Amino acid sequence: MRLSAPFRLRSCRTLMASAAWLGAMWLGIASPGTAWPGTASVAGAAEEEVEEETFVVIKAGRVIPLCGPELPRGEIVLVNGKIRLVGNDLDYPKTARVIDARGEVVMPGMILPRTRWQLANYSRSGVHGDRSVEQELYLDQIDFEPMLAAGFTGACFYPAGTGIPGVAAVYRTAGQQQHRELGKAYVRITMTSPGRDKKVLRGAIDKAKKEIEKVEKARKEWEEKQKKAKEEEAKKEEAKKESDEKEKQDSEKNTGPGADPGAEQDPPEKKEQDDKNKAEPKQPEKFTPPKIDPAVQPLVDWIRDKKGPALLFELTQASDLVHLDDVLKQASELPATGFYLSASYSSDYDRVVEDLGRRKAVVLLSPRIGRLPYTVVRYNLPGELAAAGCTVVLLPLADGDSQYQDLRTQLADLVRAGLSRDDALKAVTLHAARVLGIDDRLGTVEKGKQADLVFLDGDPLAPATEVTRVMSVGEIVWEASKQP
Amino acid sequence: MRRRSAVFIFAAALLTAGPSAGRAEDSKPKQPEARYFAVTKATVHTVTGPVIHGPTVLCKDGKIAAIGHDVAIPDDAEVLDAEGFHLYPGLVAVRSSGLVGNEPPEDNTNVYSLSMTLGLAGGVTTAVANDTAAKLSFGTLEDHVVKRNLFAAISYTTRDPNGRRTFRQALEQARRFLRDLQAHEEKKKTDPAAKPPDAASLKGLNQTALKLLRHEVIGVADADTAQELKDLAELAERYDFRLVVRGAREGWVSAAAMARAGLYAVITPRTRRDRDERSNHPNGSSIENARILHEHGVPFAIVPGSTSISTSGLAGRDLWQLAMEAAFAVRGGLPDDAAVRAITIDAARVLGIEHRVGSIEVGKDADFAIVDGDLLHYMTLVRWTVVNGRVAYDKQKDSLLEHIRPGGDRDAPPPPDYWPRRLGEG
Repeated sequence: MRLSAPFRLRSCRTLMASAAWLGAMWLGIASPGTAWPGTASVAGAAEEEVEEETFVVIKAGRVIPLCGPELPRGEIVLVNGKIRLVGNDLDYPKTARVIDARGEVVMPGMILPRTRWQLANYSRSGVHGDRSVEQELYLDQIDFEPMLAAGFTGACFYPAGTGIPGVAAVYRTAGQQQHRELGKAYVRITMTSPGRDKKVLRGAIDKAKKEIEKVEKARKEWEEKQKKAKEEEAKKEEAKKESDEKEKQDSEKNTGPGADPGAEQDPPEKKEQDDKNKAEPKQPEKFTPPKIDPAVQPLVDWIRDKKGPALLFELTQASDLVHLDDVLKQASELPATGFYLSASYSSDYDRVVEDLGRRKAVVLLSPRIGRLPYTVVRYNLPGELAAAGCTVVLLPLADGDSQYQDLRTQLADLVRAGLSRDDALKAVTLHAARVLGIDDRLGTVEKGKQADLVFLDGDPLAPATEVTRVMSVGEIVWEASKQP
Repeated sequence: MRRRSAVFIFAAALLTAGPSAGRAEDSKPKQPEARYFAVTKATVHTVTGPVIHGPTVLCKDGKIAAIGHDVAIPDDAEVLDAEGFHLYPGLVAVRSSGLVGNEPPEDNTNVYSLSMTLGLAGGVTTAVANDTAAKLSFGTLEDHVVKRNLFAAISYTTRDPNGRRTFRQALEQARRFLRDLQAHEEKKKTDPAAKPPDAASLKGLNQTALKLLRHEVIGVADADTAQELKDLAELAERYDFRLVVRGAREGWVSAAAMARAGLYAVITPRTRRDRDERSNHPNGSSIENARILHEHGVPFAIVPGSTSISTSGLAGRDLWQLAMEAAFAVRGGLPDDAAVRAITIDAARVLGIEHRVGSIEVGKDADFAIVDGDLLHYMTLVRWTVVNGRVAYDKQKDSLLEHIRPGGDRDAPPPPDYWPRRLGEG
């Protein structure tokens, strides 16, 4: 059956369970003369639901998958924009479109984890956990060209302001409209000026706690109501039983030798009625929790340790972390773990590096080699954070064409100053995807992930290296050679 | 001593072990374990008591739990061997700026600031910002604030006769109101239907005056001249309220009046003001100011001329030189111990926090300045500063003064744990 339908492949994963098996199958069926239509017509009604599979093969000079060792002369097989195989000398259908990138290095597309590129200068203060940057963003009005030219396939836009200005959202920098939105990323909470922000956050936490109490109270009331109803029902039933028994006894008495036969017709009707009565309260009344103020919903979720968008706390100096913990300890025993460290060259984060490492924090920051405060001693903050155990996410110093272009060079500087190459590359790809909650789809060149890739003409950290092509969901969306 | 401390520790152990051994375990959230810290072998200057050579000062949860030679140290205690060093109570700066944050300090203090570190390097552990006394709790906000609403500022200068009269009237009105209130209380005993004092008399009443008379707040006034000091003393004596005078440059002239009225003073011994020759009254600054005030029994705190701390270099009269400012008063005849008191317990008394800080006593906060010599000696440097039972400053771990060797002793080896740590090390 399988051999009889070699032109079409089900999208079943079972088929793809083992790469070796798959290879063997390709060898077996890719006999000369057999065509591999990329877009085959529907063969039969029974296979209507089967998705058509478009194969693309990238033959790269080198693949940097970031989930394993680098592959010289690596190949990537894509099916419908998804990565299916990564390796050397892979087998693939002859009809697959081959992208010849033998002179290029292919790595996961870079992701910009925090930007307001070309957004209007609009900010808000206070608690707005329900607001999203999506409300102020129009994709077609943003020029993504500088990001693409620098190798960014994704960008996360954040809402500006102080306090809890809202939720950030991730977008692809190019590609088809239906693929552009990658979802909500993180809730931005500032602790950049504790004198101001502590008050706001304290208020928000109090509100969130009250909302939780409200729900719990309502639930308790509901439970009690339910209990009472049950008890009453039980009582009713008992009473009914008694009365039934009585009736039975009565009827037994009545169904004596001189009983009226017509009297027997009544009970079934009654029974039906009884059944109805029984059935009604049996349907459990569903508990509908009272509405929670959406502005504090992210905090409520965090306090309940429920999954929701991550909280990203912004700090400007080491002391802010102490102030943040001071506020958060009223809400949860769990420490904050997501941070954006806005920094000058002489910030004093060295004081809290160990603390951040201990809590395995995810830290967004710019790739700066600053100096220890009041000294000229150079301090590689990203390197120290990574060494301490943090997940480091790096972003350009500022928004702009040249800053985007400079990022890779700055990464190289950090690597020279002690950050590992792997950490540096992951900091702009996988770790960025992780902080944005899209690492299940993006961030590495790995089976099952979407093919957002960047092609470079050399080592990504080498200063002379340029981006040659950018791929989004399996399609080349930007090419250096086609730029004016 | 041994038995007492042993009993104490046993009692403490019982206290901490109590809930977990009992039934209350599940209902109560688990108590965090006690945090022990001990300083051993230092020469302890208790300030309010004797100097003790080489005792163990055991602290539990930021408070001094026991002092003695045979105090048992719990296994999990952090122990600081301070052999050859002198342990003083942490210094109290009754005026400061920049060491702790503005009101409210717990929301504004930069707990890693250079100013704070410099203050700690000067031995200061408690500082006043605006109207709040706060600890220089480096790296933490735990037990940061000591006392809020320290003072009620009053103005009573010779330059503003109208203001003086208004304030006197306010005090008078407040006193009358309090008397009426008292009379009413008396009356109520015999006649339950007695009317309380007229509400009209409460209207427009100066709340500050009322609080002062009720001893709910300490007044504070800036006064330097003998006349102003005398006037304030007279006022405080007449209306019987607690008052701190800041400045008190000519306190040596009005010391008797100030002592009689129970005034507190905040003085700066290095203040200089030439005598005004046009006046035939004694005036101007005197190096003997501190001594004369001390001899008359006026408690005073000492602050330097600048109440901030210089972050651009160490020279001048700022809070890093608080001990030197006190030492200057010794030159004017003030006894050594009184000079130390003026920056520890007496300073705490001025702020009304003497039950918490200012001396080494069981039950008080574990705030220490551990120095390498006599606190008032010019060669002395702070080696460790302890705040709430935590080492907040360590000269050899902070790059600020790590390399400083007093007296040109350049051969002294650098400490093994040189900071900062660099990539690839350790």
